Amino acid sequence: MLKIITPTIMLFPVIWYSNNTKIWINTTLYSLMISSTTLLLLNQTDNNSNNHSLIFFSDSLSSPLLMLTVWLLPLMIMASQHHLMKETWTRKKSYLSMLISLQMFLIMTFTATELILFYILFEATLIPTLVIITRWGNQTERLNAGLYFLFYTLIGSLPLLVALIYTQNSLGSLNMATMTLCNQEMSNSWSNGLLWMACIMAFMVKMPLYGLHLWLPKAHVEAPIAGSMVLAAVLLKLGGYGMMRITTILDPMTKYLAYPLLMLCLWGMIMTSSICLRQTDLKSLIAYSSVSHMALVIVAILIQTPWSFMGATALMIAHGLTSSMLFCLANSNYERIHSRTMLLARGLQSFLPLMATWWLLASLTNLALPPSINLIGELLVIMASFSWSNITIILTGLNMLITALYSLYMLTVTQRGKPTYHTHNLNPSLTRENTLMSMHMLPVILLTLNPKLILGPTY
Amino acid sequence: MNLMSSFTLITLIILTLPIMMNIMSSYKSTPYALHVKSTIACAFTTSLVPTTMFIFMGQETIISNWHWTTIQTLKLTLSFKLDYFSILFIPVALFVTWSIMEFSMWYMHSDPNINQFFKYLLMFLITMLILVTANNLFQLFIGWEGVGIMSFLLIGWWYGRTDANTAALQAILYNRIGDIGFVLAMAWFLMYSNSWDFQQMFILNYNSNFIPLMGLLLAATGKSAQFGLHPWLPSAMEGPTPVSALLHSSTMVVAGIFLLIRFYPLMENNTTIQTLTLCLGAITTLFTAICALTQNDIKKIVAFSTSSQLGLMMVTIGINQPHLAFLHICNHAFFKAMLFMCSGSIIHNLNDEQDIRKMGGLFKAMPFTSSSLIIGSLALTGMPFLTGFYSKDLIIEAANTSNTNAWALMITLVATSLTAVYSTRIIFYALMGQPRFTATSTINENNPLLINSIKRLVIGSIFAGFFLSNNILPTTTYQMTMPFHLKMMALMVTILGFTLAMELNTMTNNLKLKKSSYPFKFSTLLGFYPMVMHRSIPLSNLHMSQHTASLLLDLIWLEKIMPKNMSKMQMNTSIIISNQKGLIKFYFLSFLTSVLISFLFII
Repeated sequence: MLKIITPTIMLFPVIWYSNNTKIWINTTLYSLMISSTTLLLLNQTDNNSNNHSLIFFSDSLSSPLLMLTVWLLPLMIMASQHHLMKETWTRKKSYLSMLISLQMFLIMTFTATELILFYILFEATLIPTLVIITRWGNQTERLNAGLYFLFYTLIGSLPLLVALIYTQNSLGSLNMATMTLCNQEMSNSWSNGLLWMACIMAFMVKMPLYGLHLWLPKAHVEAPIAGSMVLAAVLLKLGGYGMMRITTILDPMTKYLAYPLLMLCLWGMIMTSSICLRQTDLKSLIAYSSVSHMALVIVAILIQTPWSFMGATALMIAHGLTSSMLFCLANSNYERIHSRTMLLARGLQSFLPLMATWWLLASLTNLALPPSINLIGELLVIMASFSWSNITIILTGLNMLITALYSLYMLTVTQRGKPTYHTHNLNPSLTRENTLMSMHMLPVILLTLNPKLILGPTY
Repeated sequence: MNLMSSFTLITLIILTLPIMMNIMSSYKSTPYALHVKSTIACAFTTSLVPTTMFIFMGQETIISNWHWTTIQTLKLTLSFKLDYFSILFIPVALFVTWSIMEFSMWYMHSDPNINQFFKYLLMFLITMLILVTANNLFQLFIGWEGVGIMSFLLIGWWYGRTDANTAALQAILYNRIGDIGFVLAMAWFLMYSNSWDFQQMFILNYNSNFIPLMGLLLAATGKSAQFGLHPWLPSAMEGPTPVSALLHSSTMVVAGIFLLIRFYPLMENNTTIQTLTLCLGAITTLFTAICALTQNDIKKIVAFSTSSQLGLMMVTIGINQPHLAFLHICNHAFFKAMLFMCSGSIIHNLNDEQDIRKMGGLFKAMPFTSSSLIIGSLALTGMPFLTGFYSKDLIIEAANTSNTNAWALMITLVATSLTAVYSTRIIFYALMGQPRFTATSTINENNPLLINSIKRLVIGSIFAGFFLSNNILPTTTYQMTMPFHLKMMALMVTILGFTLAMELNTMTNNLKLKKSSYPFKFSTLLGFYPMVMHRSIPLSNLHMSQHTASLLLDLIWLEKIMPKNMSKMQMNTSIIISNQKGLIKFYFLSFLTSVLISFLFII
């Protein structure tokens, strides 16, 4: 694991010692090289986990997420070049350092063997994210957004700390690998219910569960592009990852206690999708669509069948790439139109035909067009929830319908129609942007060819 | 033996070549459209080989599997099923597409993105063939969604027009409602037969369950524009005419019927679902025929007649004659695509005039198009020994002699006679009488691209039914004997329709209604369906999402309960428990007095 972490740490001197004009190219190339080393982890020959050391391991659940994290850093760096154009060099460098420290924490979070280490790093990722949102966001509301982000996540996760300490006391170890072996069954009592709640809540806030999701649209909208990308692509998945890890010690409480949360998720999925139908703000629409997709992931994880775990893992990766791409597209619109309002950016297909293709591809993957990995994820989740209870098909089916509607509505509004009068002096799309989009799309297409790479440990 | 699968694969591979043409050098030298057209012609020729062998050898089915992925107990394969349905549909679809491609070379020649248009059409064709040849539900779903998305792109081809975009979105919306049913069926089959392979599903579900079949029926309703989910089909006429000819008459819209035909081993054991299918089809065929009666847009009339024919196919499935329905799909493809192309030729020649009231007398100006249009209309109405006759007559006969729902069969008959009425109406208004179009339009139909493409389909409309029904052994027994009046019924109602329509049309020229009657309003306003459904439901839904979901829940309640409430509570408690009340003067005064007093004491 050090061969990923050490190069990531060495990115700091690369930034600070590189020539001012070279920082973008240097960091992008270097981080791409790092991400190529993680590709070795793709080859999971069996179900066992790769123990890299006593404190770091990776298995078929964490390594796709790890690769997603590492793959996203060069993309974030590429995406934020325009956003930082007018800043001084020192500030650019400190911004990059923030992104890199975030990546470092995330790598370690996904590979930690101990739950307590996982917890510490889980909290540590808050700091760089908070700085990115509140320092480099565009509007004054960013402070409010940062506050919401911090407090929601912290309030959710502090009970987890207590629960982890308690578990450490009773089990003697918080090692994820051994935890499954030595766990005692949770009896059905009030205190155990509270313990269950404490364990699950931190991740529910992070995912986010409907009702606890208010921080997410705010944070997504106010964050700079790199922040939105990493939030949508990786930080939300921390919740899913954590939940899949911790549910092993929560049996059999999950069976009874999951009901209200499942209901809330299914209901919230419809609610947030319908909110998307009425959004005028492009970034906010994408943010709400993330909430609705993540609700499916929560449903899948709480149902706890092998099929649903597979679906959850696949959907997390697929959504990570897709939503990040959508944010990039929204950002490239923003850089040209200088507004996030969808109605102001109509008819862009006439000006930027290649960008329209990217929009089309991103929307199609977002609405889960077969045979993309998004579909595989969603389909597995829908199958799992159907076998859990037949009635869920009404809600999940309705969600499919609304998802398709808002994705294509977004596409139609931004790309189709007549261009507005104020859209003159549009810059043509840069090679950097096209590269960025293709680097989002390429993994989606390649993974479609062999989806079992991201189907997780229950495959 | 193996030639069959290999030649079918060659057909499919040939079709994918032009998609990857950009990287080849010939992309720039030869016109792309021409290349695509000849590719399809080539693919058609190749596809004839397995079809001929199939007819000759009388095989049942050939399945080729390539492993894609195994998810737990479910094996997902890339598998192609070459049986009666797919192997016959491939050449038909390719033949029709070939003509349409040639036609669009003429129709779209001034479009700057003509290459992209051809690429889209080709991609649509590929997804359609995937749908047809699929041997498992997942692969079928790929094709199913693929044709849906390609129809979205093609309907919205002129993306500057708001109407086109709305129609595209509408098509997706209705199709997606159907997809819920598809996914439901997929989920059910996965649960109860642990497979998406057709054979396994059919073997394991003798006593077929109602739920998945209902899902499939819903899916077919969405895709094939049956009543309830039908409005997208007439709206889809916003797309270019070749798109209407290819997608919305001959290939994509029959996908729903095709799905039900694929599942006939399950459908035939479940009478409830058959009755439902029958009633749904009957309502659709009558309702859309009524809507077609008063339309003035030539493309809309043809679109509604497509919808009506789809209803007839649905009826056929409802009376448990899937093979007959399939025969009607194939026959229908020829003459309906041709009708669209004829109307495209008229529209293009009259400078984009679609209103039949502003046509008239085209028989003199465009003899070829007119005669093709008449042949197509006659084939559509089931004129003996034209293509439509071979399937339509059998369908009506089978319906007449079956002992199921007399009500549904009755309205099917009425719809059949209405087919003749609206066909007459097109012929009467567009072709006969005096010209009513502007004198400045330069009418010229003598373009080989136009003539050849329509000619090919005219030949198809005359002979295809004969060939198809003669060369293919029926797998279910048709009704052989019946009373004379039942035998003649289809013909009689059609002739009745023709004469009535002729009379009425001549009369309307000399007749003026003061006030439009209620049935007339019902028909012109499409049965008030779009008025009610397209306004009330989206309005209430969007209201719900704006007011309930977004404002009330997200922006007021959730915000109020948690963050705002928390901060307010903190503030209130801090105010209450703090003993600092902010009385600065008083504090200073007490400080001053105490200092003064202490001073006094010190002194």
